[in-house]
Amino acid sequence: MEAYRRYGPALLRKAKRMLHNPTDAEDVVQGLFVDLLQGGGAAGPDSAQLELGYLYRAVTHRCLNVLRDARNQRRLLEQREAPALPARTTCEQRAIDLDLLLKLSAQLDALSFEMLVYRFIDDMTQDEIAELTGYSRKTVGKRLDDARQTVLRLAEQPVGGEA
Amino acid sequence: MTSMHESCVTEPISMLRLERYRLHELSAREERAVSAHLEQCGACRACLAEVEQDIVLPALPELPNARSQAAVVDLIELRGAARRVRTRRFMAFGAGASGALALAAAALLVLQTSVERQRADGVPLARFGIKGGDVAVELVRKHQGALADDATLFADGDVFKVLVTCPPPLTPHFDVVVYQAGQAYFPLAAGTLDSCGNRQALSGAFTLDGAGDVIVCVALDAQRVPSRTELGQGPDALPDLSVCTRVRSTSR
Repeated sequence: MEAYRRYGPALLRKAKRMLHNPTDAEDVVQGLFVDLLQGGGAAGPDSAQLELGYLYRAVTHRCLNVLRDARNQRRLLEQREAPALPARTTCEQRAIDLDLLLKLSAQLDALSFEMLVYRFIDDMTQDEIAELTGYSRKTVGKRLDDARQTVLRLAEQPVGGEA
Repeated sequence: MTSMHESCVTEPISMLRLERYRLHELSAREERAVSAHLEQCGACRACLAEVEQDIVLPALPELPNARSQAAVVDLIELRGAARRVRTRRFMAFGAGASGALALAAAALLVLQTSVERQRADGVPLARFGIKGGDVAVELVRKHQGALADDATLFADGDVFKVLVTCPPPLTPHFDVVVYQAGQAYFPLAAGTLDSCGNRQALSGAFTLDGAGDVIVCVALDAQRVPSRTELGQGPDALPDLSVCTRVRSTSR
């Protein structure tokens, strides 16, 4: 599958950033493409719809489902690996580590959680998040503000404002 | 790699944008902007270096019968209305999506192949459930619109539902793996049993096709959802609780 060869590495890195576990990350990415392969049709394996943004969101959703499942959480914490990439944000924009991410999974609604991941794990701007998700910049900003308040409450540490 | 404390000089280039940069999928204008940023930002250069490292992708399981990806696409493009039938091999149905399957589950026309007939194919004998045992797997078969009572056989397009018996109070994680012609396929969504008991129906159903014998295994693990990467390596990777059953093609 050309889309798997072309985008698989990017999606695997993305899943690892969220799950901190290479085995779970591989399962998420493989599961996505197997489902696409079996589904055929409009979202089939070589459909033009399979551009990176579409797949990026799909992997994000699947990772969020893994994180939200309480039965996975202890294992993820026990087996977590150090992040491969450094945090690039300033001191007021703290990176979201796995512990905090798992806490947030129980506190945030699905959309706010997704947008928070894009902002703080993938370093997207609000404009990028709006473009990727199809929501307005205003909605993205509000969701991130809400998410940021939750982060502050849970972490009791400064969390970044929007650049 | 940069240190954990090195910060981007301005707004970091997002990971998605870096991936698109690597793939040359940005517009010329965006690519110039990213290049200009990278020239002055060590933190983002370090991230790009990480993105550009080779990564080994796990092999993607093929569809049953070693159907090539190209063939699948051909079918999608050329056969139009027929594609639903012809391309959705192992198509998973959502829970409750099929009234007939619900009836099938309710009717519980359950078959269980004998241990003696379930040897070979690389699956340890201990993996085959024994009727009346603590852990067992059973298949309900829907053949040409009717419930069939012989789950040791399948014809192309037959629909199967999986029933699992396991002892309470276990609530194991599960995944269904189908081994055919040396390949592993995962026809249903993995999950966790809400409770163990007799003939617990797993959500969804799947079809089988092809000429070879098929081993259907339910991988059960009390600690975690079984890894598809590991299960794809073969039956020896099945967790201890797992059980299997064998069905033969009628087309050979």
